[in-house]
Amino acid sequence: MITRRILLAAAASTLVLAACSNSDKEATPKVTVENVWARQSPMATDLGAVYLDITSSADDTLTGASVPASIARTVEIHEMAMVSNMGDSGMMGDSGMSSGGEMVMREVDKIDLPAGTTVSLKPGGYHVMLIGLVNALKAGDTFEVTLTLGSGTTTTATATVRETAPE
Amino acid sequence: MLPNSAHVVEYVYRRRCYAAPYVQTGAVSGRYRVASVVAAVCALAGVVTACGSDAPQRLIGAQRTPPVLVGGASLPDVTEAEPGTDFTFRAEPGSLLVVYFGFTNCPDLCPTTLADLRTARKRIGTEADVVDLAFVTIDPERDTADILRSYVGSFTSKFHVLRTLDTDRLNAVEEAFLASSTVTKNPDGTVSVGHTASTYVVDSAGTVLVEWPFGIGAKGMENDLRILIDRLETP
Repeated sequence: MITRRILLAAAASTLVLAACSNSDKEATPKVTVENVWARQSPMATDLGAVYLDITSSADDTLTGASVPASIARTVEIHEMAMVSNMGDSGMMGDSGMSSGGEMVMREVDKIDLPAGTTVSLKPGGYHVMLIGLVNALKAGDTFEVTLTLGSGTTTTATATVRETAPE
Repeated sequence: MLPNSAHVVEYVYRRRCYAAPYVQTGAVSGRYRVASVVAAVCALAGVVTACGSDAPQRLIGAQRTPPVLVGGASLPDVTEAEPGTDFTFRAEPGSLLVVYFGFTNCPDLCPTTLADLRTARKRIGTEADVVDLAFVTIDPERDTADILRSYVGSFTSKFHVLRTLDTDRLNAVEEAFLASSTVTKNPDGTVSVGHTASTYVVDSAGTVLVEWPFGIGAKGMENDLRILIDRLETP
């Protein structure tokens, strides 16, 4: 009887110890990448955009991305930003959006990833830009996208080429 | 077409009336009054919902007051292999003209806008056949007529592509729409393009009926196109 209790206690404590050491392993930040998609190429363009949702369990930054050389020559991270325009009439509509400023696309060095927050790269915002597509992207194609984070972590996800944004 | 709720309510009301004689007078008149008020409210609600339920009534895009008139503006039409007459910014009678200023080396806004428009037209179905598209390139140096036809053609088969190397003329047309664009050649050889990225819906008189800022999405476009197409049918 006593032996069994001791055995049980030993087993229990082993489990606890195992759990503790597991949580030590959990200390490395976990990065989740979902809803990775790229737009089907309109003809006559060698540019593409990849959109995705990324969540990091610890504060980090998205600093770079790459795709196989068979997909595109260069990959950059870009944002769309509104630059104010002289002579803006300041019109507002039902949609609550104002117009009059010009949208400019520019490369960014990094995108902040606050711990636990899902950052969406979506049309009109950030996107992973593919420059020099080797072949036009066709709906249904898939390819690997490797993302590099400021912490040094890299993670790879599969992008699916779609005709329209997922709803 | 939804059954007219007013008729349904009237029928129920009449049924109640016939049942009334079997009850004492006092109760009848009380019930009569309540029933008639309820019936009236229901009938009103029925009429209102029946009228409003078939088509959305509020435009999501922006409307300017006074409205922008672009019917006097025109640009060379390079849709056909043979350059034809200039294209004037007015829809054909009984049609709507969607106008977008963009460029083909645009990986995000332009394909998104054209894809959203395609989705909106598809969802509306054959009624959207009256919706035409004019794509004006703000980057005529890189966007040749061939490239434009190929690019816009991959989104829709009903379109016009307009292009001019005359910067002043392009700027004048943009100003008519209260749009603008800037093309900058950077020292390293890359080109930066900024543009207002709005989409305009124009009628046959050359009036901008609604302006869609970028981001309105396929649903917003569908909403507004349905309303505007309906208005075409009821003069």
